[in-house]
Amino acid sequence: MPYANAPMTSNPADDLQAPEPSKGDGMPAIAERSATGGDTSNGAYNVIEAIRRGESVDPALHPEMEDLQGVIEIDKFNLYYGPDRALYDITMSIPSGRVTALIGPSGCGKSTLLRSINRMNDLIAGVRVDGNMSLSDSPIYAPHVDVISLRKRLGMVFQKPNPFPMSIYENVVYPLRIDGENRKSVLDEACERALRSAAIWDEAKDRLKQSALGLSGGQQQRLCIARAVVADPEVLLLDEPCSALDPIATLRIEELIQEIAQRYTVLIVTHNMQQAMRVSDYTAFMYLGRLVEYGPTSGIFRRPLLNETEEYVTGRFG
Amino acid sequence: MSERHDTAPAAVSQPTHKRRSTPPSALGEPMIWLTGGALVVCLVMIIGLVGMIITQGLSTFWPRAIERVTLNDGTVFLGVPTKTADEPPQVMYRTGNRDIGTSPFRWVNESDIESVERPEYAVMLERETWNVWLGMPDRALVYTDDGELTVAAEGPADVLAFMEENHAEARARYGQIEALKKHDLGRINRKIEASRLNVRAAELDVTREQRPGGSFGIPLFAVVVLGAGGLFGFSWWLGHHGRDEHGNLRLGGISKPVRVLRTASVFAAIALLLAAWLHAPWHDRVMTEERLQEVRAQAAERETDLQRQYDEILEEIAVLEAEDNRYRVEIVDPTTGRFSPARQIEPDNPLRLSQIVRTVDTNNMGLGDKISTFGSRWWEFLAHPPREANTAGGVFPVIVGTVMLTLLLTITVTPLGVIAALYLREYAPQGIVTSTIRIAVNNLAGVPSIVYGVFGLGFFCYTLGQYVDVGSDPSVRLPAPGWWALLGATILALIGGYAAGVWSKPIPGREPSNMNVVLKWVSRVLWLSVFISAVVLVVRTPYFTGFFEARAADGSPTFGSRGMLWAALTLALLTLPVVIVSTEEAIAAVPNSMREGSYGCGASKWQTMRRIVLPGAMPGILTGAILAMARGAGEVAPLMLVGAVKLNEDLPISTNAPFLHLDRSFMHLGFHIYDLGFQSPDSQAARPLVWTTTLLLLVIVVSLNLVAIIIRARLRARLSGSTV
Ligand SMILES: Nc1ncnc2c1ncn2[C@@H]1O[C@H](COP(=O)(O)OP(=O)(O)O)[C@@H](O)[C@H]1O
Ligand SMILES: [Mg+2]
Repeated sequence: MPYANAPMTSNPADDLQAPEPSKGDGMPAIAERSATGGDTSNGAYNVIEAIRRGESVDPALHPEMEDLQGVIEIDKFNLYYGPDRALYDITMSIPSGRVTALIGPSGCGKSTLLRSINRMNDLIAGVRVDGNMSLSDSPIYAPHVDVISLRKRLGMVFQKPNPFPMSIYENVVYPLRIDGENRKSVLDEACERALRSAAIWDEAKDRLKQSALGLSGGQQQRLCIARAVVADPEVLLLDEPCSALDPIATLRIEELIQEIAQRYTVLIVTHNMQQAMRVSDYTAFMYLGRLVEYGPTSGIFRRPLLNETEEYVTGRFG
Repeated sequence: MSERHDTAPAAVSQPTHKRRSTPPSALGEPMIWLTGGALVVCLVMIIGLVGMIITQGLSTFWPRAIERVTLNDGTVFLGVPTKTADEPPQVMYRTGNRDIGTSPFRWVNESDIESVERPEYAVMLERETWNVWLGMPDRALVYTDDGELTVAAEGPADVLAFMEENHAEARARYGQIEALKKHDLGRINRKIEASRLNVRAAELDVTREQRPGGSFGIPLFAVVVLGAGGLFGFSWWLGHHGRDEHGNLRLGGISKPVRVLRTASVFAAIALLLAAWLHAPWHDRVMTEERLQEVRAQAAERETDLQRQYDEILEEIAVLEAEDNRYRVEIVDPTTGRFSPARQIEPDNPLRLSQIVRTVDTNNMGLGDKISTFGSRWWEFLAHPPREANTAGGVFPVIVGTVMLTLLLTITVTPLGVIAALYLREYAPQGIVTSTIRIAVNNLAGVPSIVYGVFGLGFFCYTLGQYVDVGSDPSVRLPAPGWWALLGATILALIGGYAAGVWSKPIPGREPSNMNVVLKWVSRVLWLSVFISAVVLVVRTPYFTGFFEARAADGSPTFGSRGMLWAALTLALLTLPVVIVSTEEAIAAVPNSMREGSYGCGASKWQTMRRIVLPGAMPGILTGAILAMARGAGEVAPLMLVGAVKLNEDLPISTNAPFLHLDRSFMHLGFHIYDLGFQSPDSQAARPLVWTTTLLLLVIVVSLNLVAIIIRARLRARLSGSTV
């Protein structure tokens, strides 16, 4: 437990009465929060404290989340990078057809969680997992799962735009090409559709045969989105898609996400609160590998259950 | 503040504003001079080397003045000054005329020379045989139809005019004779040889035992083939089983037993097909004594016919030669007063006009003539085969051999090295074994090249080549049932190894269990035994008796001796480390984000390799290929063992089937240089050619590299997005 011994002397919560570790009721935070009412000024960082002590903490789940239909169900999911544990008993369900944002300070495991869904972490030596995940009721981590067909059902966009060193056209139709689709009419049609849904058709239509590396950063990222949606995935996974872009490009991508969300389920990692607020329907707040609070975006930003969440979303902590 | 003033000395607290000085050594002036100087030395050496090769190589063919030298003792000779020495002052003259017993080069002390003049009509003849002849044109003669030798021209000017007039026609006729001898007679010879080999093969077939194990009848054959087809269909059906109604693989994938069953049925089907092929009914044709008699009779008939054609061509040649014999010239050597003979053993018969390749009357030449002689010499050098034990003529077969060898080596080594590097970097588990292999590969680059030559001769030529020629060694051939039992066991081990491999994979994201680890080792052992028994199966098969058995039985091995193919493979082995190392580096340099992007799209590992990693690594792979090519083209030592020869005008590529003759030995520029410089009977005459040949080698290697470099530059530009 790398964080169990983290120094706490500088923590403002130090002079408050610490919750009894022996309580063991599993949800000290919510109890504390409801006890102290709306009082946030003396910042009861009890959940964070508990997490730092390495205790197991149940997430504060907004009531709206309870009977939502999830396209991805995550159940007590843990992940280890060799000896280091990166995810702790994550249990959540990603609602179908909506945009869900994962927020949290850097290094809290957002990307790790996202990459676990399409089993991208298989590529890293020494990764171990336990717990379950399922996509539309089929398990992701069952022994016989065909990772290739799993990934074909999910689209992924990375933090840094990573177009392949090929033409724009070939970039977009890459997922179809690897499925053995070589009919020009089909590819042409899919390419146009994907580029239109990624809002880059007008800029790219006259240079489809030119190298994708000649595009600007924002265009490249939209191209990557086009590539991710060309094969009609069930869920789109976006890992901080705007962090490498300038504000205007960011704005365009955000608009794009809202548009795309009408057709796909989107799970987006972001460290930008405004962005989460603008684009998402649901928000999950993670800290040190745990899911801390999960609820509708409006709830998380306006009426968070935990002090920590409020402090974090208002930028006073993190 | 004030407290510190009290306690600290003023000098310390006062800022002095004095900058720390920079010592001269920090500026690195001396180092700049030193490193710059070293670079200049290197450049001077390289430019000197290249410049020397270019000037020497180019000047070889420039026509030089012919001098008539009178010595103090009264001797007179014609010569072309080629070299001088200082202590004592000496000049070396090329005097030629080897066939009348004079030494073709002659050192003369300058003090011995009484006078030197440049007679206008002195000529140097470049001849088909016996190299150059220097002399004064005296008479031109023609045999009349009744065999009388009559004078056609007299006096140098008239003789030269006569030669000029008739030379082209004489040469054309001579070329025609040579072509008839080489091509037409050669073609008939090949046919006779083929017919003879046909008989030889039939004879071997008569003595051979029946096909081991006999052959299947039609019904059994049909059953076996249908069985194989059924197994293929079964495996296809199993694979389809794991798909949903849209033909997409189910997320659940295919369960392990089904995967193993599929693989097993494919292997079994392949074994059945192999059995069907080896025991096919049409293998049943047995050569009987009667059949053999028939074959012999047919061959005899064909050979008589061919012999008739052969004689016809000989007659045609005789006619041409009679005409060729008519034109003669007398070019007189002033020292001995003798003219150049038709042949060394016919000293009284003057030289045939057609034997003169080129007449060089330098003293009578303007600049234009000199340039045209220079050009014609270069053309001969580049486009014609060598004459006179390589000391004259051209190097065309040498160029062809070198270029072909280099290309062949490059197209062999590149895929091999790339596949090896791909496996090492992307597929092999990175551990102590992989590191050891990597180090071993790197060290392989340092093994002296002659070692590869020895290996190539021993393994490729004598072992592999022998196998290709005559098949498995009869003394170790397994009986058919034993061989099939071993094949069966091998396929079982293959299936077992595959199954153990499938079950050795831990549940995704979990630590491998003990069972997994045990199975992994079981699978490795099984794969190893499969490999070993596959080698045994090939080496001891009773079914393979070689592709060139008849020729080998005739005592002339085809692939079982030195040749182009084995030389290329030897050099491929030699340059393999270069390709592996640079490919590995190039693969490692492909950004991981590209791989992740591809996997994220649902690409398999192999698709990612083929579509993203390999294209991305292509410039680096080409660098490796270029380095391999450069190293391979310059290599001589191993070639002497595995295939380069002093003279072989039969090119490894030709218009006769099978067009590519990879079994032939070949000429190679590197070896040719060595041969010219050190193995030549007339080494003084050959020496200038060393430079020219070196220049040529340089030009060929540089232009091959240049092509590859241009391709690489274009690829790089495409990868970096500047063009498509
Ligand atoms: N490839 C890896 N190997 C080892 N540890 C890793 C690796 N990737 C991430 N981690 C660790 O896992 C934790 C979570 O990382 P990550 O999911 O990238 O955080 P986030 O995306 O929220 O910033 C961090 O502590 C990080 O150091
Ligand atoms: Mg991240």
